[in-house]
Amino acid sequence: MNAGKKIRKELNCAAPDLADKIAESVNWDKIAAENSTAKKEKKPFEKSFVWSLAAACCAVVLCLGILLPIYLSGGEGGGKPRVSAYSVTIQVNPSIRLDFDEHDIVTRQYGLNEDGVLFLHKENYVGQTVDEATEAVVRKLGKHGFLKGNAVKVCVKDGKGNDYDSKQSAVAKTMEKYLTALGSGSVSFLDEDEFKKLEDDFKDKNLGEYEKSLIERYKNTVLELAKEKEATMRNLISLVSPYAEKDGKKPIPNLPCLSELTGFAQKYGYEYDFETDEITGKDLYELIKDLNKEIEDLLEAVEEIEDGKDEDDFKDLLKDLYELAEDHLFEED
Amino acid sequence: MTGRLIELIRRLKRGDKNGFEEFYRLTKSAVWYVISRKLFDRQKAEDVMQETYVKFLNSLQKVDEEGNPMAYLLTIAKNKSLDEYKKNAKEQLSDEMEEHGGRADFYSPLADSPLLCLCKEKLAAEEFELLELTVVFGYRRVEAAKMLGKPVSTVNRQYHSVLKKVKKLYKEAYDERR
Repeated sequence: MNAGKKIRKELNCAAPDLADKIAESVNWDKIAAENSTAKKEKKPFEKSFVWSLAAACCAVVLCLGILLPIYLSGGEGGGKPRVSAYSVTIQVNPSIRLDFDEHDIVTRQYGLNEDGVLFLHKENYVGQTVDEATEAVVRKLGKHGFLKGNAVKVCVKDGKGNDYDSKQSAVAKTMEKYLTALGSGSVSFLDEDEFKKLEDDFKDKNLGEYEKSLIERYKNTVLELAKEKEATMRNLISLVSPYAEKDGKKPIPNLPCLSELTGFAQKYGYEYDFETDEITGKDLYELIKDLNKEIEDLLEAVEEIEDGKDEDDFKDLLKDLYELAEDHLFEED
Repeated sequence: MTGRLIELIRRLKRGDKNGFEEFYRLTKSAVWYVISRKLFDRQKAEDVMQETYVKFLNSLQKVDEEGNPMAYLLTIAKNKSLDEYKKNAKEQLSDEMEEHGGRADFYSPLADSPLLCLCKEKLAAEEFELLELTVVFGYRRVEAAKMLGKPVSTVNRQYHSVLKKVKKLYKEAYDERR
């Protein structure tokens, strides 16, 4: 358990358990009424941005697939697996599935293939209505060019695996509305064989496999980048060392490694404590200390990731990877 | 965690009471920390805790799903605990002074959090502030950097340095209690 978790665990134990008391003292019907009237401003559909790519008029095939009552572990969206009222399977490669409850609210989301997992990465449709989620998915598909020359196929079935006609029509209408606004093709439905193939492939692969392969790929990329940064920093240290002086107060004229210094700062968003047109020996002395510290921190972060091989810690591993990338590798906006 | 909070807030906005337990569990430690470091009476602190959540729930339409809902919740907690503190300031100050032998800078609720208490004692003020923002309140380092008015790279370095110190303090905190 890391230090941060230890502190949070302490605070959690100290905090009183007032959940029931609080829940009983609010009017939930009133909350629902107040929030349903609050209008959320929607951005207009960005026709030119998205649909110039999709103008090659793909037929959008809508096939709404209701989730068979299979209890699956893992997947995005969290929560315990449970039987959904229906699910929407969307395939355009990526292939994804959204489960809905009886109130048309997304309860879970799954990537059905590796591209589907990537597509859903950092997206969270859970809690959205079917309209909101459909619009968001269509936007993202269009934005990333998935609709270009491709048919989007969507499938809906009920909990017993039968065609859910009324829901299918409703979702078809929703999808068509957004596609029409974007100047795209028509809506049609995925056939039984295609739907079965998707489901079978998904079941065979086991839900977590795509996520794991995604994380593995990401991990290798991040570790490569970390090694690259370490090498760059060591190189920079060796270049500036001859000019570093603990008490050097005079600016160094025509510093040979100036381009490497500015290049490093640009690439990694590194901020120097000095102006690059007036660098002193002391500045470089301090810089070497900072860079060595940075290398130490970087190697520690890498070690934590390389040590984290436990399958149950995939979510923690991904978090560590993000932090490593965020802290050490990429320039902040 | 922000993603999960947003999912839960969507449920709460629909009047789904069942989402509240998890929401409370995920947020209570940060909210309790904000309130209990200001109020010395546990019962009063619990009352303010309840009022904070009730206010939050009754003003859900103000919660921006694109932003960080924790920030809004913590603001309510801070304001309510400050109001309560001002109401009872004289009374609380003398009680606290008595309990802590005249020292007003150590607050008893941290006794429930020995590691955090030790961090407050041993870390520099700006290190502890960073620890609060990132670990206790859950702000990302980019957000913490903006709040502190510092470059992100500086905050990142300080963060790792602080966590190293906290790891060492953990041994001290829990060895002393044995």
